[in-house]
Amino acid sequence: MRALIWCDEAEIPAAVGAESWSVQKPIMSRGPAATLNLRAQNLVETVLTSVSSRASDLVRIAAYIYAADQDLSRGGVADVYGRDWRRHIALCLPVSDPVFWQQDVIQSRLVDVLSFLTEDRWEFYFSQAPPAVHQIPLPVNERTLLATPDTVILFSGGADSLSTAVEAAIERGERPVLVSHRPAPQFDARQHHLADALRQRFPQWTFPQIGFWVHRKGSDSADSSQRSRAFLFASLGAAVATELDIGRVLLGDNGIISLNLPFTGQLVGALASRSTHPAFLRLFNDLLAEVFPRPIQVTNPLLFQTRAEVLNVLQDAGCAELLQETNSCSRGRGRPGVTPHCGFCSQCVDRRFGAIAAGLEDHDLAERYGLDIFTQTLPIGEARTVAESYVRFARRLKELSDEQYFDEYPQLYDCIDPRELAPHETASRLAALLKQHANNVLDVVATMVARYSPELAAGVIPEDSLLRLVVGGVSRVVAESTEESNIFMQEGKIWTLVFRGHTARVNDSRGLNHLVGLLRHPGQQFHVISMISGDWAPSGEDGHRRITSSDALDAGLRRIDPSAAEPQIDDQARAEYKMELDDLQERLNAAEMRNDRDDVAQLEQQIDFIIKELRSAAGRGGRMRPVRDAGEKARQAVHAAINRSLKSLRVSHPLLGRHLDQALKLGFFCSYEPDFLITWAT
Amino acid sequence: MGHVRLGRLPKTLRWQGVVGLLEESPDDVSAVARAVAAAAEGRLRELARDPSVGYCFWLLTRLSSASREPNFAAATAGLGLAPSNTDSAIAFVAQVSDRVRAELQQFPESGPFSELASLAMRRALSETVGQHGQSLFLSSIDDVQQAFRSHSTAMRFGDLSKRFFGDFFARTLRYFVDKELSNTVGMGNALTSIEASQEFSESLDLYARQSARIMEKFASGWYGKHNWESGGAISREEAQGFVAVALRKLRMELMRPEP
Repeated sequence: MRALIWCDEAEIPAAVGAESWSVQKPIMSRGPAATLNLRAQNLVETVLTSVSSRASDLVRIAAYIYAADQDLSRGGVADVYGRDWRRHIALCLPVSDPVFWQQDVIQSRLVDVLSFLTEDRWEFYFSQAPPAVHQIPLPVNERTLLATPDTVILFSGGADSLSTAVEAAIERGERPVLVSHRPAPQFDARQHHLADALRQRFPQWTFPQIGFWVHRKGSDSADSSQRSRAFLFASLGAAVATELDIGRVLLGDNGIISLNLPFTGQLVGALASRSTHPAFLRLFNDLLAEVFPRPIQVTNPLLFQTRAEVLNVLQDAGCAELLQETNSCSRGRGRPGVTPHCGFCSQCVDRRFGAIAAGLEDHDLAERYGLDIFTQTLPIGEARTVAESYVRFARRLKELSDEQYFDEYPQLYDCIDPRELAPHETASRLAALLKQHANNVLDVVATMVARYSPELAAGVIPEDSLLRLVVGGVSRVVAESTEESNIFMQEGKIWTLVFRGHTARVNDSRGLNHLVGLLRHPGQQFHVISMISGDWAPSGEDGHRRITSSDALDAGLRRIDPSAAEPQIDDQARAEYKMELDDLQERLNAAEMRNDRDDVAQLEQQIDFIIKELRSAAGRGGRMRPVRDAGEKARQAVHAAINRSLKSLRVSHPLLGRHLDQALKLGFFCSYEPDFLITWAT
Repeated sequence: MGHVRLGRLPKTLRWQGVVGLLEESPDDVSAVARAVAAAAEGRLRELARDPSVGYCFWLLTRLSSASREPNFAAATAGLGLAPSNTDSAIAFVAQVSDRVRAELQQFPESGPFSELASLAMRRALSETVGQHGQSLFLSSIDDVQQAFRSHSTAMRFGDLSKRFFGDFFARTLRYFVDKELSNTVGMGNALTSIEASQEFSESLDLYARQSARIMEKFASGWYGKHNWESGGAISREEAQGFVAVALRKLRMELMRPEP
């Protein structure tokens, strides 16, 4: 997707507008057609005389990026090749200082950080904003500023951001300002509630809070992944920090979430979010170094801690009960108050394991989760995938040595800043983090298996719950029975084939007619001549159908003198084919080396043709197949027809293809002999 | 775990055939690999011309060549790297990671395969260093040079290529298969436990890596010839040409019917 987005009154450069874009649309933050709400408490109206235009610009840019990100689809779950995941987005923005933002170095920093975070390709075109939009209204209580805060904490209302605030204020005696992004009212209420709770428990600090309302208005977003949200969140923190003359912004996430290594192989790149990834923070700080004259660093103080260790901070500070007031669920919006956590998203699964590992189950009740992954059936899809992969990932981590982590998960190299003084120490700490996580997860698994062992023994834990997947069970293949509806039925020119719940519809062919005859008579042998003549009468006592010469004549076959039998392709023709094949192969290699697509396609076609010709004429071991008498001719015809159908079935219905490969006995006498009793509706 | 975007395999016959094999007979990893290769055949064919895969392989060829220069750090400057002679191995690979990421940003059309190629390249690099020195964490850039130098002969470069392509295909298979693997673990299927799914996953991985053995000789011959002719400066175009043939060979190997 190539999208051109213009924000409010931004100018679109003529050359950019003249390019071909698959999507062109505006983002308006003002007026009746506004699609973006951008509002915050106003610092200007209280103590500060002005908010710098630079900070205001950064927040505006981040808000527009966030809106554009949600406005453009990344494709659906069935986009198996991820063709739509990466978008090319050109954003035309109004800012107070377009000359500054248009500089190469700024553009380059912006693109670098956003490319890593979102995997999109970004272009920016800045134009002069009218004076009225230079400022973002930022009202804040005067107490906030008079108390001289020294740290900004990005406060989402999740367990990790709460621990970050507690650790900073209680353990280190810092005076943090809590900065929140409020995408929806329920987040706002939770964040306020938690900040109030902090003030009550720790009255020595006021925990001032600044909230920004930045969200879409009107229609639902075209994409829910919101990979750019971290850029907005970090920008809000940096903007407040620069206005309050603070150099330190904390964005806390436990190390496992921060690294977000792929716990399943399907998670490639930013399919696993990078919201607090060390490389994102590094690239963001590189941008800040260019944007603000005073150094500001956004850091993750929890990078080397597991979830359990992070939750222990609450325990150690004597406020473990606050855990139940936090929410980590990525599907939390619209959930009932009694079960605010879905229980199966990756955030919920990690939190559940972390809380059990930290011994905080009393403050993170299973009943507060919509799904108890340990003891309830995991529905197919996200729930099954996350829970099963999560444990499998931990088992894999447990097997690997510190250094093997970097072989198996080279993403870890992204977490290391080549400029740092002791990168090997960082590597060791990351490895220790992964090892600890694996231990925690497997300890929790062992704890839960022990806790529910009576129920497991009694068989009352549902199938396909996480505990049952851990302890294993009896394969259905072993216990295969006949009750399934297997169908091999012709309807006009189409055959409907259903086997073990999988359906294929294929075109009529002679081979399928042979196959259905065999399937109707499992265990019985039929001579190829009777199969051609369509005679499926019961066999004799020995299981063989007697074949007469009239049967052969009925089947349109005649006896041929065996001495006159000749191969279908003689030796000379075969040799010529092979020479031509070698020649084509060489030409194909050369064409591929020079990237000549037309030649490659043409040569591949020619090679395929020759291979088919040779295969059709070859028997076992590549020997040429001679034409023999009527029986042999019938055998060849039946086998060729069946093999053609099987070849097609192996593609259209591999399960059935494999079953038939195993169950069919083909010779002069053919039969269908499955290993287990199976019935077919024909 | 942070937020994740999970997917499923399409409802087409070929992809559902893969699901069927996972459900019923995952013990035959070659059949699973073959079914995936058949279902994704069109996209795998396109990879022959994929610039991301081409770039990652090219970088391996040039790192091998650079390792024969007296000043390895200086020799890699032409590759967009700027290591110092005192860098650790970890810092060097991290720097290569940054460079690769910056380069591959230019090829959004590669989709997930650019990241898969990058991971395969970094693994080849990491393993090569790790297996040569006493410890990856304690190795220096000199150890990186020595490790690559030992792989800069035609014969040993074949081994490096095998690792790269084997890992790339292993990750590619996992990328597809893992979209459904967990859904096929449970009481109703052949894989009844997480232990079984882990064993399957490791077997599939091993199968992909072993399939890449067919690359070894071919890569050796190609590297020996082209490295000599180019004076140790194999071009991106030459590397891309090799990748096209190599990936076709691997695809054919995976799709080859059982004897």
